[in-house]
Amino acid sequence: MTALERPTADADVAALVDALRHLPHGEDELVALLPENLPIYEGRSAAEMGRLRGYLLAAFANTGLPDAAVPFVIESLESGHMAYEVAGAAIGLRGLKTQSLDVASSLLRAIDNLSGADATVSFERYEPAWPYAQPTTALTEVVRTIGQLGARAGAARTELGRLAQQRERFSSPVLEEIRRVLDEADPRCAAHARDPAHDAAACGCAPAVQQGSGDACCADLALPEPVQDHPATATRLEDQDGRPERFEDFFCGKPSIVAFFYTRCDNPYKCSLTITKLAALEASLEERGLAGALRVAAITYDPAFDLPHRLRRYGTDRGMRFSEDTRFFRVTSGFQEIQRRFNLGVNYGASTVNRHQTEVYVLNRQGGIAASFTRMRWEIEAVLRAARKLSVAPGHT
Amino acid sequence: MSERAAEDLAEKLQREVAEAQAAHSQYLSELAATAAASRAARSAEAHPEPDEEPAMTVLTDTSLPEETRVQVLRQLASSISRRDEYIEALLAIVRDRGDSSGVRENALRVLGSAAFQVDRFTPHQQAYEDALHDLVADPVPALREAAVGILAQRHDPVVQETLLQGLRGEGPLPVERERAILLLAEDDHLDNLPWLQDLYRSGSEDAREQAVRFMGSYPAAQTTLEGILRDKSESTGVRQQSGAALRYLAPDRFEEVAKDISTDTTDDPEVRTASLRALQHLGDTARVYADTDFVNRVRDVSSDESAPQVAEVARDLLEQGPNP
Repeated sequence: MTALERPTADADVAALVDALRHLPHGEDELVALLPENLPIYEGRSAAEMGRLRGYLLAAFANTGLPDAAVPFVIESLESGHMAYEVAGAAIGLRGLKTQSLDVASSLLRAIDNLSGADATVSFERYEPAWPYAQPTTALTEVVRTIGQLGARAGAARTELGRLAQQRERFSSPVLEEIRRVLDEADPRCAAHARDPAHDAAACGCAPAVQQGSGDACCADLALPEPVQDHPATATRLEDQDGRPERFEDFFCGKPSIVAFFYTRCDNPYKCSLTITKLAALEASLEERGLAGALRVAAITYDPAFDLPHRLRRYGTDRGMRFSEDTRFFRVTSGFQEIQRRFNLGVNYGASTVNRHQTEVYVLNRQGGIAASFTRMRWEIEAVLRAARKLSVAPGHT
Repeated sequence: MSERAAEDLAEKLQREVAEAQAAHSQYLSELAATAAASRAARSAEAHPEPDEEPAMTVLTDTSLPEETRVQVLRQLASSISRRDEYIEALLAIVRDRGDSSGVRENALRVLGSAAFQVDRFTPHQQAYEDALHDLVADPVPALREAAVGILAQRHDPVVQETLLQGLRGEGPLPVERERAILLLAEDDHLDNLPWLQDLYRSGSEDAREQAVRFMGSYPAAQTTLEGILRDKSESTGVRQQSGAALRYLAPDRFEEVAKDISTDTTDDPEVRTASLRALQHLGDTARVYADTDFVNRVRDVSSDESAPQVAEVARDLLEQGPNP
């Protein structure tokens, strides 16, 4: 896989995906193509990255979905804002091998995100010409996946009955697909789905998922990584007020929580949400009397564009209250060192970021990574738990 | 307002309401007659819905004069988002290349307005976008341009790819080249800088200004923008736009360049005054006033009678400063 480097036409990458999807053990090679920071993705536009991601994820329907690929599929379902990418993730999820994994909340989140943002897409080949020979939509594919996963879709299947009643949210073809899936389901489940008052336990259905509740899927997969020690860094930072700072001077001495973002991110489920949650986390620290015990920071992926005034406005607009211990930074020198240190899941097009993962880290008093919350949706309480372990036990890093 | 004036106003409003009601009654009466005639004509060859509303009958009868159907469209415009069957009818009209282009254009306009009612329009959004995608290759230029514009502003990946292929000569361009580049530039996550630089070199005056404006999203364009801002042979409009873009992208660098330009007596007075005003009102004004070398140069400019317009703005800048 590493033989493929920039410049490689996106059609050639797609041709490789097509070859791998039919090879024995092709799934391992496909997994190797998933990290967004590979050299083959440098210089591409965000639109190209979204197309390639959707096409790549859909190929796992043919090869089977290995465990290593599941976080990437979940990420696109939960945070994808391009219909094509979400559709590809939904198709790829049909290759799911793990029996015990709860994907219901991710599928339902995809439905929520796509409501009003669905689009006609096609996977008949890479970059098909309009009009498509085999059109579908992202929502249709998510619903179809719920149907095909059967009991493994868990509560998502139960929710379809409720969604079928919400005519104002979905197009006619999507509603038809929901009804088709319900009709094909176990009759007892179908009865339950149509009538929420029906006893779910009687037919073995899982209870309906409440959006915004704890995420079993993420709980399974977002395991904090072991503590890593890093050598001192020469990275220079500048904060939201234009004050220079050395990386160690801010991130050493106290445990800290750091998120990565950039102000031009056009995906509402990534940077904007991350910073909004970071502001809520910061407020929560204050409420619990932990404000002085931990530092909170965010570092931009796009330091050339994200000048101090942009950092300040972006944070303030999302509820962040800046202080000596709560700051946003851009890297003025040594960004590559930061990329290596955190193994950042980010890549760049000609003007700005072309794709990135969600990433939040808890750092110990030496600035080493104590816990990572990457790729998938992170919960404020989980990050706080990891951070509190460091703050309440000085010396224990 | 006096009692008499209030009575006059009330009378005027009552008169206008009565006129509007009369006009609407006449419209409904004519509509019913047109619809009846249409039904009668169609009943020989088809079986129109017995309960079909007159407006729907007229709207979907392609044999009727364009202006008759357009009038119905205008009447429906404000309420169409509440009428699913009318949205579907309009989508069918827009997609029908055999229908009158005037009716199709008006139908597209009404759908565009309805799409703003997001809650009500959501079930139709996907079909609407499909119709827009169909129109990208439509033979009617106005429809093509409208559809491409709407889709490009939504960063639609299909239309973006169509525009890119057209610019690269790999397919037909659905709109003029200049417009294609400017529409792509709406998305700063695309690699637009080479196209914008091309447009700056070869586009119309207006397009060149727009190209420079969009370059403000590209840190790699900083040197180009500074060069354009300093280029005395460049038009005033393009230079001023370049200044705005540079200030957006790199405010510190803009400040340095603006200081040079504003105190250069050989430069365009309009660009000099714009630079002075930007330094006085935008960005870090405290830092500007703290630059004693610059303030001294502005003092010289303020007494330079060869450029009275610049001198006046320079005097204003000095008067508003901490040490007037």
